[in-house]
Formats: sequence, C-alpha cells, structure tokens
Amino acid sequence: MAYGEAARREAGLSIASMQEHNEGLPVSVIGAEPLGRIPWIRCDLPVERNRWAKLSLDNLSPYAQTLYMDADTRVNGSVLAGFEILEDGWDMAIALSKNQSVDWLWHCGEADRQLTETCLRHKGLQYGAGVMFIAWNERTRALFTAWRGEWGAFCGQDQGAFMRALQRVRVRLWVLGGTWNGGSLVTHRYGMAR
Amino acid sequence: MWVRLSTLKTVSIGGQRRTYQQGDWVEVGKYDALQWLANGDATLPDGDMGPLVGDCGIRVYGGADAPKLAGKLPLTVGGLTLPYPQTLLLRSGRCIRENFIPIGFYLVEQWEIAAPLYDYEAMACTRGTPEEQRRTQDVIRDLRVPTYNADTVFVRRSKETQEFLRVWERELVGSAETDLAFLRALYIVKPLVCALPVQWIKR
Repeated sequence: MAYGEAARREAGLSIASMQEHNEGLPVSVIGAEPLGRIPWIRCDLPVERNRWAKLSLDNLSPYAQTLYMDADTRVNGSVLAGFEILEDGWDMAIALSKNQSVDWLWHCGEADRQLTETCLRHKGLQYGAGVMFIAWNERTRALFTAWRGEWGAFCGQDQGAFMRALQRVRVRLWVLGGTWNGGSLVTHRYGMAR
Repeated sequence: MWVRLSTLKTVSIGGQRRTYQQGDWVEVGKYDALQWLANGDATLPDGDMGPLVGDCGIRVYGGADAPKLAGKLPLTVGGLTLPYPQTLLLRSGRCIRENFIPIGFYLVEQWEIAAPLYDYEAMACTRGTPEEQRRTQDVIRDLRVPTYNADTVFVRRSKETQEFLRVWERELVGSAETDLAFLRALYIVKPLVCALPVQWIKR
C-alpha cells in the first residue's frame, strides 16, 4: 500500500527486499498511482484515509492467499511458511504486537481503547496488523467487513478495531511470533511511510 | 446476575425503567453486569468470582492439587475430559488469576478454546528438546511462534473440541513438553482458538 511520497519510497524498498528473498512470489502495490513496473491495484484515496485500502483487502487483493505488508517493512528471508500455514487450513496468520501491557493500544485514542476493553471484557492480545497472511473465505471476508465497521467508529488506528472485529467474527487464527513483524525475518521501520 | 450498585443507575427491567441508588441490589443481564463491574459501577456478593454464565466448571487433571478459590464453582478432579459444557482445564497445582475466570468462560461462549500464551518472547524454537522441536516443526512448519500455557485452558464442549482433546492426548505420548504437544494438537485440529495475554497466569 503506497500513498504519499514517503510510503511510495518505502514500498519500493520493501518490495525489493521481498523479491530478493522470495523469488517468483507475485507482488502488487495498492495506491492512487502506479509504482514503477510493479503490478498496480488502483484505489483512489486521500493519503489520510489510506488505511481504508488495507481494510478493503478482501475486495482489492487479486490473490486467494494474500500476504499483506505495510510499506515500511523489510523482508530478510523466506516467507513461504506463512503461505504453507494457510494451505494447511488456517484462515489467517498474524504476529503478536510488542505492546501488550502498559503500552497496550498506546497509539489509539482513549475512547478506542475503552471500547475495545469493554467489547473483549479484558485487555486482549494485541496483534500487529502490518504483516498478515490471509486466506480468503467466508470467515475472513466477514472479518474484514466487521473490521471496516469497527474502524468507522473512530477512523484512526486499526488495531483496536481489529480486536473488536475478531471478537465479533471468529476466524481460525494462527499466532506468529514477533520475528514475523518487527523482528529478524520482517523488520518494521514504524512510521517511516508517513 | 445480582450486583450491588456503587453508583446511581437507571435500569430497564421488564420494559420498565427504574432508578436505583448506590448500595441497591439489582438483578441484570450478564453484559450489563460485566460492564458495570469493569467500570467500578457495581460490586459482587462476597466470595463471588464474577457473573458466571451457562454450565461452567473446573476440571483439575494430572493430580489432585486443586486451587483454593474464593468463588463458588463446580470442580472435579480426574482425567483430561470435559465434564461441563464449558470447562476450565487446570493442571494440578497450577493457578489462574481468579478474576479472569468468568471472562474466560464468557470468551468460550464464542470461541471453542481460549488459552493464555506462555510468554511473548520465548518462541516454540526455545522450548523442549531438539527432538521434540523437530517433531513439532514437522507439524506446525515454523517454530518462530509463541506457545500457549497449556496448564490453563478454557474449552467449550463440542465435537471439534472433543477431537482436540483426543489429539492432544495422543500428542502427549512420548512428549516431555506439554505446551508443544498442545501446539501440535491445535495445529492439527484447528479449532477456533482465542489466545489470551500472559498476565492471565499467576506466576
């Protein structure tokens, strides 16, 4: 997903790192403008609402099994295992966020945090939605629909909305370690795409 | 569910709205009760661990060392089975933070299984013997994943979860690492599992 100059620059580098370690894996970029020769999925959105494109992956992704990655990620090895997990029958595979205790949903607004805690009845596990493997089926499509609905409550960050959506629409979710998002396999340059 | 109000509330019961004062006892639905308790707007009768729903109970397995809980909840000791429609499977001698028990049962109304993670940093590749790691990798493909704390598992009784228990018991054979056996069983059966924060466990 590449909206705005910083994100376009980061996306180019992210895709290059993916191709270096995962030869032959098809990659596309979502944005309002093409990015070099990379297959382009057009989705006209203002930069400040670009998160909507991520939440609409169920409509935008051309791949039955999709690995979504934020533009500011860098791949340092094979991601094949994630696709194998989907092939084995899991609906999604997503990594834990590093923010699980005092920094739980720190980047979300207070109202967003409170609504999430009320819906889940506790401070549930926070996932990093900047890297996620998704197999499209009825469950995951329903989850993304719910995610868009929950995000609409505040139109800000998407992680609280994801947790609330997941409580409404359950999927077969395989939890990955931090290596997969912000770790040695996929490094995450948080904030560099803004 | 009966709760005692810590603040003034207007409550709709049987279609009629009434205002209750601080200190009043009122019987409300589970959702409202949980929300009020979380917000500090109400308290529970002494010794009650929370608004438990449905037919819930604790099954202590692997020994007879049962937890001492302030709340009242059916508890049996025996094998790895599901004697209640919603069962907290608790390994003998292990503890869970009591205030989370009703929330765990609430979660398995929707999910089939809910279990806390063992640790956020220690991945499956750091647990067990090399041989057991190989056995686990053959099943789950990648060991860079967190493990669950299999000593404390909430389970809703269903065909899928009965199958899960059967596979877990099979995976426990020849396994010295319960959590890796649990992870393999999860991967094989693929129930709807809700991972919970590590803070749920008393350490």
